[in-house]
Amino acid sequence: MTRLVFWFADGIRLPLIFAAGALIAFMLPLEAPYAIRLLTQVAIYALLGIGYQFIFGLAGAFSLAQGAFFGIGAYVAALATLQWDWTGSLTLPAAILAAVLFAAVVAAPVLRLSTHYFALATLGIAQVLLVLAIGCVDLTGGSNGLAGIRTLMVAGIELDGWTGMATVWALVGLAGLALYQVRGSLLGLAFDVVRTDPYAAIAAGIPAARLRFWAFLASAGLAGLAGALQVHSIGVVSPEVLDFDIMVRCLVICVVGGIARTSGAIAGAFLVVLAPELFHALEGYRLLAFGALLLAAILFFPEGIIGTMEALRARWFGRRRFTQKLPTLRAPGRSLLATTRPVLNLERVSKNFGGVVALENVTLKVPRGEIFGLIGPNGSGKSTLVNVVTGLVVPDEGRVIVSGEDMTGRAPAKVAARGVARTFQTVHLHPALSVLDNVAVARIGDLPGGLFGTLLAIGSERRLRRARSEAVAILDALGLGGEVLRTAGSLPPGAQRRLELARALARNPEMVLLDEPAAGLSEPEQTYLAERLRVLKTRGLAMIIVDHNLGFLLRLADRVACLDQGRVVAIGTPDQVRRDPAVIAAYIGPGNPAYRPPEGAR
Amino acid sequence: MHTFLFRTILAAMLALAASAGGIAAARAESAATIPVLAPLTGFLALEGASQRNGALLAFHHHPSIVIRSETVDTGTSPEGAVNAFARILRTGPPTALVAPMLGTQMLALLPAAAEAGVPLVTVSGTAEITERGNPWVFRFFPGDAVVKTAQARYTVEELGRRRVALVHQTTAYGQSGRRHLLAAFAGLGAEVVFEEALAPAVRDMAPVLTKLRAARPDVLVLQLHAEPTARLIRQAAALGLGLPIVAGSAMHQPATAALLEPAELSGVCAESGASPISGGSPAMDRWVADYRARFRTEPDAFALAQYDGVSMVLRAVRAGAASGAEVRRRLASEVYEGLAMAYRSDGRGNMAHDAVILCYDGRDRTPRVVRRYVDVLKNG
Amino acid sequence: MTDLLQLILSALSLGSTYALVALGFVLVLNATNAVNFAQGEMVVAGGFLAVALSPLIDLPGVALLPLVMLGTAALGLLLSLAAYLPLRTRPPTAVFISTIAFGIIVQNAVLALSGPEPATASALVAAGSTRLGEMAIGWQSLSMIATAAVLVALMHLLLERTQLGRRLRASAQDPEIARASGIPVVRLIVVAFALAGALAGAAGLLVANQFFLSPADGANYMLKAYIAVVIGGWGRVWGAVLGALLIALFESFVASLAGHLAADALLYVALLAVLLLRPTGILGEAVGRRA
Repeated sequence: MTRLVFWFADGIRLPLIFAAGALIAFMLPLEAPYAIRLLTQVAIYALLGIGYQFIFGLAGAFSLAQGAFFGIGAYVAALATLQWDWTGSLTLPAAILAAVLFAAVVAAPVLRLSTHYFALATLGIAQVLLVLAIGCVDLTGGSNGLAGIRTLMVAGIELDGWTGMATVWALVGLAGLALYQVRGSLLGLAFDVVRTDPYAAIAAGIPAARLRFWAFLASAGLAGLAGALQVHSIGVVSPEVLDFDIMVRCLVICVVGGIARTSGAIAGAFLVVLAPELFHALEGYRLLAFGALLLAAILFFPEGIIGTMEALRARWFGRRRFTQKLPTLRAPGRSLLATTRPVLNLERVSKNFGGVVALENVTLKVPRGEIFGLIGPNGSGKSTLVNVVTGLVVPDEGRVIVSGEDMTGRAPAKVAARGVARTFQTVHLHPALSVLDNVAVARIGDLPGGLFGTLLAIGSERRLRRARSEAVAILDALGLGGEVLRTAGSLPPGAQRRLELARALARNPEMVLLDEPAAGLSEPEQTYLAERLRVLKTRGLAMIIVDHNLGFLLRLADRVACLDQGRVVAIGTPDQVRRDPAVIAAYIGPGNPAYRPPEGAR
Repeated sequence: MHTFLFRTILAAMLALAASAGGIAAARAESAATIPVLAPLTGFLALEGASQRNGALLAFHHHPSIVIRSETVDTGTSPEGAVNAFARILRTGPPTALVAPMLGTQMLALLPAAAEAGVPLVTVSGTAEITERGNPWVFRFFPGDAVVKTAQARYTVEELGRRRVALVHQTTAYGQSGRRHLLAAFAGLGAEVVFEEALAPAVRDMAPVLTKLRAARPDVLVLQLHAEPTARLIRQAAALGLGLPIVAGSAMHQPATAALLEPAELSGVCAESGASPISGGSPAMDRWVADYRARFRTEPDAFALAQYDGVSMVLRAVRAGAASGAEVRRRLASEVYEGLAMAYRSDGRGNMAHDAVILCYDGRDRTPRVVRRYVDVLKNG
Repeated sequence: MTDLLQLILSALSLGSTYALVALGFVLVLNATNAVNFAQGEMVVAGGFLAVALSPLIDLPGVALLPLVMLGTAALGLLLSLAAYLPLRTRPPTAVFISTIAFGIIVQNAVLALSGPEPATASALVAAGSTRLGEMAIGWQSLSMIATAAVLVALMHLLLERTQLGRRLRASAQDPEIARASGIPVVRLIVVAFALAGALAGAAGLLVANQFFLSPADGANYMLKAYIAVVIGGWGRVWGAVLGALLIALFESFVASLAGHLAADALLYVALLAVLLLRPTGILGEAVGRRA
C-alpha cells in the first residue's frame, strides 16, 4: 500500500493526475455531450499515439505507416459490421488482427531499411492503400466511403456516450500500462539503446531486428484498434482515415506530447483534439493558430510537454534519485575451462572490397584462455578481420568456426549468441543511461522471459532486477563498483573503455574482440586494464585485441599476429613477432612515414 | 474577411446577451439559432466559403429575426463535422443547421441530427444523403440525379453528341456524379467511349487528353472540381482538342472561369442549379450586387442555394416555427419561391429539382443560361 | 509518335518544376541532414506571390522571377531561423514537426490573405502555342523548361565555381571536418534554406500559369521532391534533379498506359521496388555511412 502511495507521489504522476482530474471536472458538467465526444476522440488518438510510441518512441523507427494501420482497422471494422453484421466483440479483434497481419507481411522487406528509406517505404505503403480505398469503389464505397456503421456493442451492451467513452479510456489504460511496463523493463532499456546507438546495441548483443519487429506489430495492432473505435464512434468511414493528415497528427501527438511515454501520448492527444476546438472562434484562421501553437510547442518544449514538466519538477524539487537500493551482487556466468577445443578457428579467409584485397588467405586459431594480439599498419585488414569474426562482414572464401560450429555467413546476432562479444574502436555507450544499466542491458540475451513475461510482470520486473544485480558484480570486478549510478557519459575515457569491456563480459562470452581498448588511456589506466584482462584470462576467456599501442599489446598478449595488406606476415609470441623482419618492413615500409618503434621493443 | 469575422462575433455576443436577459424567450416567434458548419479549410474551402457567405447574407436580409449563429470550420474529415455538431449542441439543439456540403461529412451527421432533432440545410450534391430515409436532411442544390440528367440530356439532345468521353474526379463529388452520368447516358442511348478518373492533385493532363483523343469521342463531359476543371480546359485548348465540353457544376463557379482566358472558354458549357452572375431578374442582380459588396468576391450557385435554403428556414421561423421539429415539418411540406427556383421537398429532402445549362461564348467569363430544365426528374 | 512527343514535352515542363523543388530540398538536406517538410508550401507561397504581383507589373511572368525568388528566399531564411536553428541539436523528428508546423502556417496564411480561390499567374513569356505537324507546342511549356534549365545551370555554377558552393559541398560531405576547418556552418545552413526557398518560389511561379495553384497544393510538391531525392540517391544534388524528371515522366507514361489513378499507386509501388532492390537509390548514396 505504501509502495503504491510512493509510486504515485514519484515523478510527475501527481501533477499529471491533478491536471487530468481538473480537466475532466472542468469539461464534463459544463457541456456533457460535447465533452464526451471530444474526450472519446482524445482517447482514440491517445490509443493511436500509444501504439506509435512503440515503433517510433521505443524502437526509434520513423514509420509513416501508422495512419495506414489506423485506416485498415477502420475499414475492416466498417466492412465487418456492414457485410456480416458483426458486433464490437468481433470487429475490434478483427481490426487488430488485420492490422497486425498486414504489418507482419510488410515488415520483412521494410524493416531492414534504414531511417529515411524506411520512412519513405512506409509512406509508400500508406499511399498505395489510400489509392486502393479510393479506387475499389465496390468494396470500400470509394471516396463516398461507407456509412451507417453502428456504435460499439460488446456482449449485447451498447456502448454509447458515457459508456463508450469509458470503454475507450479503459483500452487506453490497458495499452498505456503495457507501454509503461515495457518501458520500465529490461526490454525498455534495450529499446533505449537500440534507438540511441545501433553500435552500442550490437555490442550489447541486443536482438535489435526482433525488437523492432515486435514494436512494429504492437504499433499496428493498437492503430487498428483505434481505427475500429473511430469508425464505431463516427459511424462512417471514408478515405480520410488513410490520409497523411492522420499521420501528421500521430507525429505531433508523440513528439509534442513526449516521446516513448504513455503520458506523452495522452497529453499530445489532448493537444491535437482540443487545440483546434479552442480556436473555433477564429474560423478560417484556426489552422494558422494551430500551426503557430505547434511551432511554439516544439521550440519551447523540445522534450515534449511531459519532458518539460519533468525538467521543471527537477528544477524545483531536485532531480529524482535512483530510488532503488543498490542491487545485491550476483555473479553471472559459468566456468569456461570445461573444454579445450579452440574458441576461434579461421580457415583460409579471404575478402575483397571492390577489387581491393582486405583479407587474403588468413588462417588463425585462438584457444581458450589466450590473449591474442593483432597488429599491422593502417588498412592492413585488422578491422575487417574483426568484422568477419563477428559476422558483420561475410568472407568471400574460407570458414569461420566458433567453438566448433561453422558460423560463416551467419548474422551478427547469431554469432553473438554463440558467445562472441566485441567492443568498437570508438566508444559506443548510451551516455544518458547509468553505468549500471549500460551493463545490465547486455544480460538480455541470457535471462529468460520475453515480451509477454515483461507485460505480465506488473510492478517492477524481476528480470531487470536480476540483470542489475549481475551487472554490479561484473562492474565490481573491473573496478567500476563505485560508479554504478553515474551516467556513462560522465565517466573519464579510461573508465568508459572498462565499461565497454564490462558490457561485453555481461554477455557471458567465450571470446571477446577488443578494438583499440587502450586508445586514449593514461599509463596507469593502461596498466590497470591489462591487469584486469589477465584476470579474465585465468577464467578461460579468449581475447583478440587490436591495438596501435604496441607497447601495451606486446606486454599483454600471449601470441601476436601481424597483418599486412590482408595477409598474415608473422605469427608467434610477442618476442618473435617483434623481431620478425616482415613486421618491421610492414611498419617502416613505403607509405608508413609515421612509424614509431614499438616502445616495448627497446 | 475581418469585417464578417467581427460581425459574427458581434452577432454572437448580442445574441448571447439577449438570451441571457431572457429576451429571446419573450420574442420566441422571431428568434432562431442557426449555426453554420462548413469546410473553410482544406480542398473544399472555396465551396465552404460560398456556403457560409450565402447563409450570412440570408441572416442579414432578415433583420427582424434575432439569429444566434456561430460559424464552425469542419475541415474535410467526418470527424471534424461530428465534433463541430457536438460543439453546437452544447447550448441546446439549434432551430436548424447549415450543414457542410461534403457528402461524407453529411453522412456522419445524419444520425446525430435525427437524434437531436435538428433539420440540416445543405447544398451537398452527393446522392446518398437523401437516400437513407432520414427525414431531417434538406438539400437546396439539385442533387446529382437532377443535374447529371440535365447535363446528359443537353449533351445528347441539344448538342446531338453520342460518343462521350467522361473525365471525373476520384473524390466523392466525382464518383457520385460518374454513377449518375453513366446511368443517364445509358438511358439516352449515348455511348461512353472513354472514361478516366483523376485525383485532384493531377497536374499534367496530357496523358488523359491524348488518350481520349485516340478514342475519337465527339464530346467531352467533365465531373471535376473547380481547379482541375480549369486545368483540363486550359490544357485541352493548348492541345487544340477542339471538342465541345459539357462540364459539371464546378465550372459555373466564377473562381473557375477566372483562371482561364475567355478564348479558352469558347465551346464550354456546364450544368448548375443556377448562375447568379448571369443575372436574369432585377432581384437576382440586386442580390449579386449585395453579395459582391459584402464579401468582395463573386457569388456562385452554392451560395445562392444556401441563401435560399436559409431564407426558407427563416420564413418558417417568422411563421411561428420555434423548434427544429416545426421547422422540419414546414420544410418538408411547404413550397418556397427562392431566387434560383421554386423549392419543395420530394418527400426525401430533395428541395431543388431544376437545373440550368450555361455556356460561355468565348468573349468574356460570364456564362449565359442556354437551357433551363424544370423539374428534371418528373418531366424527363 | 506525336502523342509520345506531346507527353514528353508536357511531363518535362511539370518535371522541371519538380526538379527545382527537389534541388532546394536536397540542398537543405545536405546542409542540415534534416527533411524540410515546408518545401512544398514554399512553392505555394512563391506561386501566390507571383499571382499577387502579376496585376501590378505589366510584364511577362519571367520578369517577376527575381522578385518572387527574393521573396521566398526571405521566407526560407525565416524558416531556418524559426524552425531549424533553434532545434539544431535536437533529434531530426523535432525538425520534422517544426517544418510541418511552419508549412501549416504558410499554407493558412496564404489562405487567409488570398482567399480559397485557386489562382493563376501570367505566362512566363507568352501564352498560346505553335503547331509542329500534329503536335501543339505551348510557349509556356517551353519557357518553363528553359527557365528551369537556366536556374539549374546557375545552381551548378554556384555550387561548382564559387567558394560558397565549395563550402556547401564540403559541409555536406563531412559537417564535422567542415566545422573544424573554420567554415561558418550556421551561415551556410541559412544560405541553404534561402536557396531552397528561392528555387521553390521559382517553381511556384513556373507552375502557376499552366497548372494553377491552390493554398493546399504544397504537400504534393513536397512528396514528389522527397521521392525524387530518394530515387536519385540520398544527398546527390544532380540525382535529385534527375529523379524529379524521372518521376514526372513515369507519372505521365504510366497514366497514359494504365490510367491516372493506377499511376498514383504505381509510383509508390515502383518506389517500394526501388527501395527494396536498391536500398540506396538508383544512383547510390552520396555519402557512405560511417561506423
